[in-house]
This record gives sequence, C-alpha cells and structure tokens, in this order.
Amino acid sequence: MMRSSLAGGNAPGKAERDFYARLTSHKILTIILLSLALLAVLGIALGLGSANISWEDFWQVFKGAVSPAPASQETGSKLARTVIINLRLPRALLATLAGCSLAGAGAMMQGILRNPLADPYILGISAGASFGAALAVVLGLGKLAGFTLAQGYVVVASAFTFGLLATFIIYGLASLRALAPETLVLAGVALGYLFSAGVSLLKYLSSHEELRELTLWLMGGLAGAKWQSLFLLFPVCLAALAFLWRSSWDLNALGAGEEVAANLGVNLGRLRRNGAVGASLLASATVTFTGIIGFVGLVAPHLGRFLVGSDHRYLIPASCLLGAILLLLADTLARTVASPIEIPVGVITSLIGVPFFLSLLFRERRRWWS
Amino acid sequence: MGSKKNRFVARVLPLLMLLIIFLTGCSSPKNAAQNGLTGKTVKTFVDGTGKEVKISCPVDKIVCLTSGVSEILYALDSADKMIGRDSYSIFPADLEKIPVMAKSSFSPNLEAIIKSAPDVVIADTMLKDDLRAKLEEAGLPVLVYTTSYPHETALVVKQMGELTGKEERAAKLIAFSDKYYQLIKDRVARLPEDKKPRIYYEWNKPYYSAGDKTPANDRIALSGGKNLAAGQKVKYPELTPEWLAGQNPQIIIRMSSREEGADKMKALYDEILSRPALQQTTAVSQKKVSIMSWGLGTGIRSVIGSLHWAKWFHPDTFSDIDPEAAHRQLLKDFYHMELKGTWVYPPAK
Amino acid sequence: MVVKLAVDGLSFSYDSQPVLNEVTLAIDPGEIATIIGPNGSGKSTFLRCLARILLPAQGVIYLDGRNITNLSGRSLATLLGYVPQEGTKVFPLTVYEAVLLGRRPYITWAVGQKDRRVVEEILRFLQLEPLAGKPLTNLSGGEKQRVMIARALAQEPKILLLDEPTSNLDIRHQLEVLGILESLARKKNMTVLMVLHDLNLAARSSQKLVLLHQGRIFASGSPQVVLTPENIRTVYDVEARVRQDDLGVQVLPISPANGRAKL
Repeated sequence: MMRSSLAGGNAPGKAERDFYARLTSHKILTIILLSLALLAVLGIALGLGSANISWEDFWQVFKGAVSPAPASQETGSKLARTVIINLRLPRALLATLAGCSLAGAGAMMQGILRNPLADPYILGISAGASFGAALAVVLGLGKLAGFTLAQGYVVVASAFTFGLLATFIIYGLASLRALAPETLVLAGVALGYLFSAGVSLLKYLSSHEELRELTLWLMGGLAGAKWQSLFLLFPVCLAALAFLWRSSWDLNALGAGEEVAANLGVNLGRLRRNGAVGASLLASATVTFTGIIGFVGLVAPHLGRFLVGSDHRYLIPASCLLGAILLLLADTLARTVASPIEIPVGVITSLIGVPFFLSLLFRERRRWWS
Repeated sequence: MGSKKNRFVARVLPLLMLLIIFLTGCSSPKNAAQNGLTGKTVKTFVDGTGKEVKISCPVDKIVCLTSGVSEILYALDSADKMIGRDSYSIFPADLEKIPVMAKSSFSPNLEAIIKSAPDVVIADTMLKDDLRAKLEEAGLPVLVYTTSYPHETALVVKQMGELTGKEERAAKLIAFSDKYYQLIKDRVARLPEDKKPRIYYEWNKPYYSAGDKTPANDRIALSGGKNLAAGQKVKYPELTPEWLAGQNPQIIIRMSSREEGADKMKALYDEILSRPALQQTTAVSQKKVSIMSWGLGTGIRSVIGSLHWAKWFHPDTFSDIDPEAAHRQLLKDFYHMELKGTWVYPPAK
Repeated sequence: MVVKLAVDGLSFSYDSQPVLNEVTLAIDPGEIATIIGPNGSGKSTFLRCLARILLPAQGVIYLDGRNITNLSGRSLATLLGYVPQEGTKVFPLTVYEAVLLGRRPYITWAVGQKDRRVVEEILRFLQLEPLAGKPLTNLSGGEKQRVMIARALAQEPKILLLDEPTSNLDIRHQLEVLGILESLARKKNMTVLMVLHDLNLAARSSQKLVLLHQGRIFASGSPQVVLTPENIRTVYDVEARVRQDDLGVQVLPISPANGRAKL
C-alpha cells in the first residue's frame, strides 16, 4: 500500500506497474534517507570541534536558534553560541553548498561528455575559474577580503568567464576528434597546468598588497565562511542546479548515445551550451569562495549512480546530497583529526578521491563504459 | 598687519606641532582611561596594518600566532602570559610548552582561541581579514604585525611593552638595537659609493634573490652593500646564472632556514663555491661566500645579522665590532641564555 | 494512421566530398525496405539524413507530405524511431529505464500511466520482461539489440529506421530480430527501413530493396528485380550466382569480378 501510493500508481494486478513503482519508490526513499543523513552530518559538524562544547550547551543553542522568541539571546553559554553560530554554522553551510555545487557540476559534466572521469577539477575548469578570480583580485576589481556583495559578484563573474572558457576548450577538444575519455582527462590536466601557470604569472606581476590577498586566497579553505558569501553563493548555485535538473530527460537520452538523443528530439547544441554554462557557474562560484577543492565532483556522482542509477532526475539530487555529505565530513575531519591544527580540506578530499579515480581508470573500466 | 600675522602664526604653530606630535605618535597609546578597580588602563594601539584597537592593559592572557612577536614577548619577560601560540613559535625553546592554537597565522584554530578567552590575539599578515573579523566578532581584540623591517620590529617591541606593562624593558631592547643600527648607519654614511661591494643575496633556492622594496634589499643597503637584484621589477626574482656571472658579485650571501645546523650550512657553502656559472666571479674565486641562518634575518636578532653583513662588506671599517659578542649579550640580557649553535658560516675569525 | 515516407532529390556531402547524390525514393506504409550497397556507398548517411541527425545539403524528406525540417524535434520523434548501428558507451541504465527513454518526446517531467503501459507492452512484445530490472551492461548482444528496438518502439513511431540491426549477432538472433521487424510491419502496419550488409537476409525480409552505388540509387524494387548477377557485378565488383526458390532470392558470391583474387 505504502509503496504504490509513494509512486503514485494505484492500478493493482499488473506486475510490471509494480515494478516501476518499486524502482522509483526505492530511489525516492534513497534520496529521503540521504537528506536525513545530510541533516545528521550537519548536526555532527556543528557539534564537533576543538572548543569541546557539551551536547547540553549545543542543545540549548540549537533551541535558542530555532525558537522565534527574542529571549533566545539568553540560551546556552556565550562561548557555545559564538562558536556554533558564528564559526561552525557558516562554515558547515558553506561546505554543504560547495559540496552540492561541485557534485552537481560533476554529474552534469559526466552526463554531457558521457565520460565517467569528468569532474570540474580534473577537466581544468576549477583552475580556469581560479585564474579568473585571481585576475579580478590583481586588477583590483573586487577585494576578496572585505567583500561587499557587488564586489563578490564581480569576482564570481570573472571566475565564471574563465571557467566557461575552460569548459568550451574541453568541449572543442572532445568534439574535434572523438577523444577517448582518458585523453580528455589528459587535455583537462594540461589545461589545468596552463591556468596554474597564468596564476603564477599574476603572482609575479602583482604588487605587495595584491600578492598577499592572492596568496591567502589561493590557499583556499572553508574557515573564512561568512554569512555574506553564503547569501551570494546560495541563489547562484540554487538557480544553476535547478536549471541543470530540468534537463534531466535530455541527459538521460544523451546517455544512450548522441544519435539516439537526436532522434528523441533533444536539441544537443542547446543542451551542451546550457550544461556548460550551468556547470561552469557552479564550479566557478564555489571556487571563488573556497579555493580549489578536488574530486568531490567525481566521487559524488559515481556514488549516486551506485545508489539510484543513471536517471538524472534522481541522480542529480542524490549526487548533490552526497557531495554535500562528503565535503561536510571531509571538513569536519580536517578540523578535528589533528586538532588543534587544521588540515586543508583539499588534502582529505584528494585522499579519498585519488584512489577512487585510479580505480575508475583501471579496475572498473569495463563496467562503466561499453 | 604684520603683528597680527605673527600672532596668528604664534598661535597656530604650537597647535600644528601638537597635532603633528599627536599624529606621528600614533603608535603610542591614546585615550588612556584608568580603571580604578583592576588597575588596568584602556589603551589604543595602531597595529602594523594601521588599524586602531582598544585594549585594556596590562593584559594577562595572550595568544600569539607569529614567531616574530613571540620572541619579543619572551624578551620582555612576558612569555608567561602566552596561553597559545603558532607551531613556528619555537624560539626560545621554552615556548614549546605553550599549547599550539594554529599552524601559522593563515590557519588559526578559531574555536580553540575563542575558548581560551585571551585578552588579545596577535598575528601576522597571513591572517585572513575574514578570520580577523571572526575573532573580533567573538569579542577578542586582534593585533596584526610584521617584523621584517627594523622599524616594524621597533614598533612591535614598543607596543608589546605597553601591552604587558613592560615599557622599561621594551625601551632597553629598542635601545640595544638602535645603538648598533646607528653605529652602522654613521660609519656607512662616511663610505664613498665606489667602496660599496656588489652583493648577490640568495634566499631559499639557487638564484632566487630579492629585488627592490624588500626587507633584504634595505638591509643590504643599510650595511653598505649594493644589491645586484635591486633593479628587478619582480620582488623575489629568479636570476639567470649567466646574468649573475656577468654582474660579477663581490660577495655572496645565502640564507639557510632556522632549523638547519652547521653541517647543512657548510653544504650550502660548498655547493655555491662549486657552481660552474659562478667560477669566474670575484666572490667565488676569493671565497667571499657566507651563509647566515634565517634566525638572524628577521625580527629582534636581525640587528645581529646586519652587524655581520656590515663587517663582511667592510672589514676595515668595522674591525672593532664583534657581532658575536653583541649576539651573546643580546641573548644573555634578554633571553637569559648562552650563545650556542652556528648562526653564520664560515664562522667569524 | 499511416504515414508515407518520400525522399526527393536528397544530396549530402562530408567536407565537400559528395556522399549522396540526388536520391529520390518513396516507401509505402507497412512495407519493409532495405538499403543495400557496398561500404562507402552512403547507406548509413542516408538513414541518418532521414532521422534528421544529419542535415542534407539539398533535397526534401517528406513524412506524409510534410517536410521534416519543419517539424519540431518532439513531433518528429513521435513519427520516426531510429536505432543506430551500435549501442554506444553508456552509464548503466536498467532495461526498463532504457526503454522508457523512448517516451521522452511525450514526457515533460513525471512518467505517466500511459508511458508505463506502452513500455510494459513493448517489453512483453519483445519478451524483455524478465530482464526489466537488469542493467544494460549485463545483457548479451541480442538482448541489447532488442532493447534498442524496444526503445525506438516506445516512441510509438510510424516509421522505424535501423542501421544494421543484425550486426554482431549470431544467426539465430539475426533471424529473431528480423522476425520482430516483420511482425511489426504486418501487425502494426509500421514502415520499416533498414540498412543490411547481408544480401540474403535483406532479400528474405524485405518487400523492397534499394541498392546504393556511389551515393546514387542504382536499382530499387523487389529482391528479384534488384539482385541480378549484373547488378551485383557492377556495384559490388563480385561474380555471384543468383538462385530463386520457394524461399525467394538467394545470392551466392563466387569471386571478385576482375579475377584479381583467383588463386
């Protein structure tokens, strides 16, 4: 009863109808469970840290924050409130949003290029975006420190421009010759080097104060998370993700081959263009606020595919949730594992991501393609 | 008319002078307000970034996330007030007992710092503005400094003295440095330009030098040398060996990191002497190559480094000066320790 | 509803290399037509032009009298199903999902009752029901080919285009696939146009053969008319014996025409 009502089917007796209902209800259930897991991980991320806030204090702060009563100022100790509301919460939310965006961008790139190795980091899109942001900093277009909202958007726009440029170069290479997935990865790595060289050049050319900002920014990290950057990032990422999610059926059709997709009435040119814009925007906006974080965009969609299959209607939300969970866990580890010293979060994601990438490259080659 | 004008000038001038004193004295505390109960005074500090910060002094608990200031606090007998440090604050070794709250100013553990509730947090410019803002939001005053230039170091010593109520000792420490800096300046000023040797300064990697507007460039000039890389647009350029050989440096200075001992310094020395590209240069053929520990390159002890440099550049002019004795005295007077280890190679004769 | 497929003066070139030259053709509803011809004669290109995957330089393709360039992607997809030559590299969809893709022209977001009914009927028709939950990557070649046809059928097209649907299949599976196509044409009055390499299979399964030679139609009509030793010699450069019996025309290739390969 539950099952059929979940999937919206109510004609009994047909085994096949039950089959599809089972198929979708399983996926929906998985996504619900992932959402709950994300909430749980958020709770853990807010509860753990060097300051050793007791769970009792944590609960007080939580109640205070949730209840609309103005008396909330009095709940919990002052230390607990400062640490949880000002430090852990914005950081955890930034990790969630960044993980979500990177995973969404990864799922999109994998779908569009039909390449299981695609990821904004591996294809050099993050490096392109980082060059764009660095350029904005050096040209003084926007101060990364002391953001105003408008300046923030300027940096995002510059990052986006170069992220998009990287994406279109990758596209061009992918379509110029029917490149093998591995070859495209090589091209992406080369592109990444090119943009890194550009950043190094900027470092050489910039003045003292710019250099300081640039250096600090390039070192990345989630520690500086501010509400303001969240307010800036949230609408951009939400819009881009919704935009990508809408093209789920087109991506599904493309999964069966370009000719099939064309026959099914998919406008391939438009799908590619929109996908490039959406994925580049997600990756670039994230890079602007967190620096380059690798492999989340690779790992999350594959885990998502393992859990809910290749239907992008379910795959995109599942990947986003998994990306958020992954990055949140990685950042919590980065904060706590060597406390009081913090490890850069990119170290943790690479420690997870690189073995995963290598196993994709060698062991599972057959399984994923053909 | 004339007398009116004079009166005006007579009135305005003192006012102007007051204003100038007020402005130039911005590093000294203002708005002092005595608090009768605790014996504390709220003072306003203008830190290395030009930011005004009000702090109730003397402070009892300090988190210091930059080694340059940690060693100053130690010299002012205030290390006991440090309740947190960065992982690089390890000179003097006593500091290692203090809990680490950051790898460096770039990655402070905000939670640990806020929980320890210090009266002030001190960092260097690697502290991101966002993170500084977070600490300030939590009600912690933050002071940010660099100690690359002598005048910066002097400012920090002065302000640390005020912060911890050790003004007298701070004045002594500043006087110690000033005495030697003044001596170097006076003697170098009397030297003709053509007597100043051409210096190739190498920091952490082969052929990496320091160009215009760097502390090293200023320090070379201070000790009476001509920095070959001074004209470079890039701050820390990588020079081509050919170009360098063509410039024919008369003296080569190479910095080694703080942790590296005599063996490593000797290895660096031998390596530079054996570089094929530099064989024809005056510096290599006359073996005028010196290695100096970075411990004498920045902060309080950079005055010792400058003394060494001055003596290397102009042995006759500074024949009566013994940098090692000055170093020994500095350590004895302010750090209560003996001079140990190797700081320059080859050792002074 | 039945739909007539007509092609008028179709020309196509890759990088100014002419591949198709003034091809004109009409196929009746419920007919199985097969395009044959040697490698490089333009068979697959012709099929791709019909599916509007390639845009011809000249000429018009009519579906029921309407120029297909004026149709929207979705409405063309509901008229014309295309099964490409090889299952391309894919992420592992299940059989059900792969067939469901064929409903994409009808679906905006959610999968409706009708979509499911169509998919399930087709799965039953092609005996794919037991495989519905399996990922495509675990299927045999014959099963995969049936899934690809099922996907095209889910579009509920009036015309089915297939590019070498029997390649990579063993004899039994070749016959199975062709049997499916025959019953589609007979029972559902569907127009089937495919490309085949095997002349005997083509002759057995089709009412009409179209013999392409250097981008032009060399001959078209019933197998008896098209598959003559003379035509085969000219187009394929092969000496062949052609026999007729109760199963239709049979072609037995003997040797390359100018005798070069005689040992």
